[in-house]
Amino acid sequence: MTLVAAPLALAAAFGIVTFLGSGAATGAAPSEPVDGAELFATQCSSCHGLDGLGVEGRGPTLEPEGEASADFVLRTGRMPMATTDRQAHRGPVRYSEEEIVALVEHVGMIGSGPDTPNIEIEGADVSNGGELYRLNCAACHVASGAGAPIGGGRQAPNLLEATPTEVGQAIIVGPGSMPVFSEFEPQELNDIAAYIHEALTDDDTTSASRFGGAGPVAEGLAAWILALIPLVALTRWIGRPKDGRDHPEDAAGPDGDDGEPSIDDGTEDSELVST
Amino acid sequence: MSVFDRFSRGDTDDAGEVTKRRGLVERYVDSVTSRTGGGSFVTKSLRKVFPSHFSFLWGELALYSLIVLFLTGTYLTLFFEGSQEVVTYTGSHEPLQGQEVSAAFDSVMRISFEVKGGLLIRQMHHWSALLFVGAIALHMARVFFTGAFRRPRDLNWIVGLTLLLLALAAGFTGYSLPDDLLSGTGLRITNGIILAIPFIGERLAYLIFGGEWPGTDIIGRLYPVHILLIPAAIVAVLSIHLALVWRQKHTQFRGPGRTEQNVVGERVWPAFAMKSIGLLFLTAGVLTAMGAIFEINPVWLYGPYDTAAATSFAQPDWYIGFLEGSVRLFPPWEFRAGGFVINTLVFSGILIPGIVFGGLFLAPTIERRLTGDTADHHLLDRPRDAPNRTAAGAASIAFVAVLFLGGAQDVVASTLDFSVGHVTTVLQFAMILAPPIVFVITKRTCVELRDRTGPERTERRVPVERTADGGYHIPDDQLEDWMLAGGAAPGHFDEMADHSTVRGKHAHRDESDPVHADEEALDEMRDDAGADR
Ligand code: HEC
Ligand code: HEC
Ligand code: HEM
Repeated sequence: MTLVAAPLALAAAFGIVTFLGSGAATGAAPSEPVDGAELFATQCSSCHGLDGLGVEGRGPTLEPEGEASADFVLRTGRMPMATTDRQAHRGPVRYSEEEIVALVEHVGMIGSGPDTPNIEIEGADVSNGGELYRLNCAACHVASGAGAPIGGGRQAPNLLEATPTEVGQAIIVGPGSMPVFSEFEPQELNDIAAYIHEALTDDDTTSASRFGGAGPVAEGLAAWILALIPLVALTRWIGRPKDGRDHPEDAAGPDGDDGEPSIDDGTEDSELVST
Repeated sequence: MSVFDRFSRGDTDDAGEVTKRRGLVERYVDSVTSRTGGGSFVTKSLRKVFPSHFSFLWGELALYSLIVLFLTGTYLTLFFEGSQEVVTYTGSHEPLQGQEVSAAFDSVMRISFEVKGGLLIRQMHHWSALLFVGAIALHMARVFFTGAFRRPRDLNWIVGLTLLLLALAAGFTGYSLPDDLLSGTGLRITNGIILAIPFIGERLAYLIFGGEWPGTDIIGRLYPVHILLIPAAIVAVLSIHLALVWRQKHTQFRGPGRTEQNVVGERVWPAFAMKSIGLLFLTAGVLTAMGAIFEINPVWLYGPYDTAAATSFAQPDWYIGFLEGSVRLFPPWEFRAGGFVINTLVFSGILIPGIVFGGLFLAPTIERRLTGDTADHHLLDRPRDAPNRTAAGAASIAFVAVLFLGGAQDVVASTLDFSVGHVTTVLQFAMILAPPIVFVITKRTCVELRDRTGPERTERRVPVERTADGGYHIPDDQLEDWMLAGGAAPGHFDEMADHSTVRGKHAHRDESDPVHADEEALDEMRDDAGADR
């Protein structure tokens, strides 16, 4: 793995661990029915307002959002945000299943956005999904799904952690600075999700390491660090004279052999002429 | 008569016959030369001396990556199809099944997933290309920073640069062949640069690409260039390069017993030959491991080239990175000159690489002009011995390195978690500021290092004993050291000579004089070392 890949892998490992460990979160015990409006008031209103129409300088209105959007931000740990100035990132999930369902329902009543699509990757056309992915998504998320900066200090994230449902949600919701794609048929959403899941995340095409999918730059770095520098170290080992020092009997005249003409005397090849 | 007779000092019996048993290789060489003649040439070649410094092996490293390139490349030609004819992919890689791809892309997919050993060989070929240019870069740096490029090797410096250009061309054409999204992206930029050439650009691009971008011809045209024209040119120019090294001899670092007139090191046979062959195996081994363990250029992820598709992190291989960076960092200037548009690509795609390579080609001339030193040089400088040259070299590397980072600006931004805009701005400033800063720092460092008297500059002192009759004597066990110190510390020699003249000008010619006897022994050794001036 390279410099580029290592942090990604670490982040991934961290994400999985925290994801598994976050089942029982804040708030009410599982048996109690959860009040979405109340939860929203305590958890979200500081930024989105009690009515969900936004707070100037803190959070946007949730009017254009819907259940898909709320479900996406809660299950990827994007909300509640810690700070308001930066892009929302994937993080540990903060709420229990009941709380999420209640919050999603509540936001769904505030906003007019779409509901979570039903993504089914079984039997989807992976190849078609790949083509759609390269045409619509790779420009930001990279052909390998590694993610890349998109300008303005924002980052299109690595896609390898997203579940098929989250992919479908992201496509129709357009979280943060990602555009909304409303032109896809439901089957096409399945295809794209299937491609990301089967060809990128569960990629078993080669057993070889991919250097974080960062392309030729990472490969060039790898060539220097893993091949060139070790070989240079080996030339150090090979290049050393027998016992660390040259021997006078291994010195030769300018023609590389004793008793040959020197470079400067202009004589052509003649082993008889000696200096 | 064996060509190896002269290698067997001390292995002769009383009658002067060589007693050492010949090895397999030696017997084969003898059996050939006894039938073909040319023994004296072979002997001469085998007795050639190579300086033993590890940096002198980096040219070899390039050579051996080139050999791996040729071998793996030949295998690939058995399966590659250089055609842009549209076919439907029906191979075993499911995520692409049913896609319309070019025959070239299709054949690369087949090499990767169906051909036995195909992926290994393909990956080895690509890794060795990256290593090849890396080794050339190091080799060139060695030649530059030690002053090996000075007269008479300025000629070979130019030959070497031609090799570098050919290596870049080989890499670029190879990268373009699979007709995947990245190769198409690279070719498109190239098309743009050619279009930007004033006056002739449009026609030239039309000629090369067989019409408007993207056309259907370019892969078919690049294929013979990549597998025939460029390799043939590399072999031809490399032969000249190596013939010149052979003819002009190696340079060497200063050191005991080393002069402008000799070469101190190891003979080709057996020491150097063994080392060199060892390096060939090591290089091939490392490249095989790379090809087996690490994925490179996964074209099945990039997909076939499609003018509508795009991906970030679409960079060329590292050695073209400086050109990509030049394009990405240059401000979008555009001028009109008499009906012609001079756009930003003229600067970034033509002018900047022109300056970089122009500077490299002219380096020997520029140094000659600036220093007025037109003499031949066979002894090398340490980088610190020529602070201006070293500083200029470091500054140029800094410039090219900034360009390279510019080409990878999105990867840099992503790795450091900065915004792409900031990284770009910083690099634009660095492009102008880094070279002078690096120049000043490097020069200071060199001057400081040079003026510091390190242990390597201490002269070797050899005790000289006074003999009973007033002469001078060097103990036998010190003889070799004294001789070796001769190059570095002539002071001792003069001292000796002065003292011996006390007893008369030609005193040392006296047979009974112990100094003379020793000198005779020394003369013999010095002759042997080819150290006489
Ligand atoms: C203009 C660039 C851009 C394009 C094009 C784009 N995305 Fe995104 N995508 C983003 C950004 C930026 C985010 C992060 C959103 C945020 O700030 O929460 C994102 C987030 C995502 C996420 C959430 C990832 C996670 O793990 O949290 C998914 C899934 C996703 N995108 C899928 C897609 C798919 C599929 C496509 C193609 C149909 C696509 N994106 C096209 C920029 C883009
Ligand atoms: C610290 C302030 C803050 C808190 C607390 C907060 N949000 Fe947000 N929220 C934001 C900001 C800022 C955005 C815009 C994010 C962006 O553009 O990437 C946002 C965006 C959203 C979006 C739209 C997502 C998109 O990018 O399309 C939803 C839905 C959302 N928040 C739901 C919630 C819910 C539910 C909670 C409570 C659990 C919550 N937020 C708590 C600041 C906050
Ligand atoms: C195709 C790529 C190249 C190969 C395979 C190659 C190979 C070699 C080899 C094997 C040697 C002798 C060993 C050594 O000194 O390292 C050599 C010497 C040399 N090369 Fe190259 N080389 C290549 C490119 C270059 C380039 C790009 C330059 C400079 C621009 C260059 C300049 C020189 C010079 C000046 C020497 C003589 C050095 C000396 O004797 O001190 N070569 N080359």
